[in-house]
Amino acid sequence: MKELARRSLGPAALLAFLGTMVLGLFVTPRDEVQGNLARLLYIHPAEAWIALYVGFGSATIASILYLWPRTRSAGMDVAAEASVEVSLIFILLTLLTGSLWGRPAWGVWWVWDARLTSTAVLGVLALGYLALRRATDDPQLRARRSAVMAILSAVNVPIVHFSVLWWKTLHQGATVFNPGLKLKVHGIMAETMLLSFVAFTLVFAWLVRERYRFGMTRVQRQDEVLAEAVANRQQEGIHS
Amino acid sequence: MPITETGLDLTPVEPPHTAKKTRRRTTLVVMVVVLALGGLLSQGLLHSLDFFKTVDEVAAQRSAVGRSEIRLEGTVQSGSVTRTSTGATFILRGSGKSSAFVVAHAQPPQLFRGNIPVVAVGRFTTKLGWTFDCSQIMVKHTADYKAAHPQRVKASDGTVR
Repeated sequence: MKELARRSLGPAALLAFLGTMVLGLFVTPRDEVQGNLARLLYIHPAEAWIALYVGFGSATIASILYLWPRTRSAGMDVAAEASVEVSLIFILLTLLTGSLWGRPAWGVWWVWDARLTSTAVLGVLALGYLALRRATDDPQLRARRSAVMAILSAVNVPIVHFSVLWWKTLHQGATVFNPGLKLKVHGIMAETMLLSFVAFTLVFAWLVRERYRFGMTRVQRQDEVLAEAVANRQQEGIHS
Repeated sequence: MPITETGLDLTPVEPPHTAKKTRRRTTLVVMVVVLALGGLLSQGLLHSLDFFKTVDEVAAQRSAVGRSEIRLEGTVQSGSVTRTSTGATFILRGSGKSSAFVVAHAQPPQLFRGNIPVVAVGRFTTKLGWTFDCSQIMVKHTADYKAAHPQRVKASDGTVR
């Protein structure tokens, strides 16, 4: 059963993603104000959902579990790294699709309003996390520093979320997670948007899982190399 | 040289000098991140955290605003848009009674039309007047998404699906 679930994640993600694309491009109607431009509704918000909440959320939880002695393990560190890496991809996609949407809708590719600036800040923090990992050789020190950085970086997530409420921004307010939790999308457009959230979440889960497996293989390989080097040294000692 | 009974050499080996190198690299990474964040935030906070002033806000502090360059937000009054060869003219109204006459010297974006919120970048032509000289128009679309149906059938209570 577990094996079946493991093997189905990839196909389920692909199916949900293709379903979103078909519905979004060919079935859903044009928007009353934005026309076909609003079809980015089925990509951009879902990317932001992954980048902010799912991606950084996972990284923060894994980092906290790493720092807590009872749950500390190489697996938690690898999971945090995998989550931030994939989250960074989605941050960049969010900014890219946002620009593609902004140019025809707003009339500009980019503005320095609170929402866009804070999202760019999150991207820099994610890059900083990955750079910090590469700058530290000792695995345990690397894991500790990265965990602290991930938790500190996550402070920016609520800032991004509430930026459209706290300050006046060109970026629109929340379509889904607004204060009244009132969905401002109607009919099949809403259903397709919901499917896009599910699809992108499955894609994220699949990407993180594959990255995690690669990371754990590397950790195990390093352990094996270390054990082999110790054994060789011992052999040298015996024969000298 | 300490040798065990089994002949294993336990002479302490000098550890590699990585601690200093790691500290330097970490410091460099932190400095780059701080500089990048500083750069981003300085751009974002160049004027203020608020991206624009509304027409109503400007009305409350008109003399303070004077002729300084601002981003003015309001709703385009229906029927007030006149397209020109260099841009457009229109009335930008606030939620109250205040409004500004905007002379735009740039082509409006494709979503521009009556009854839509916009942000106009420019300055008032006089210290206390309400004619606004605009070099850029940005449409601030809402978070509402509805299907386009020209002959939309409404229920008896006026709602649509």
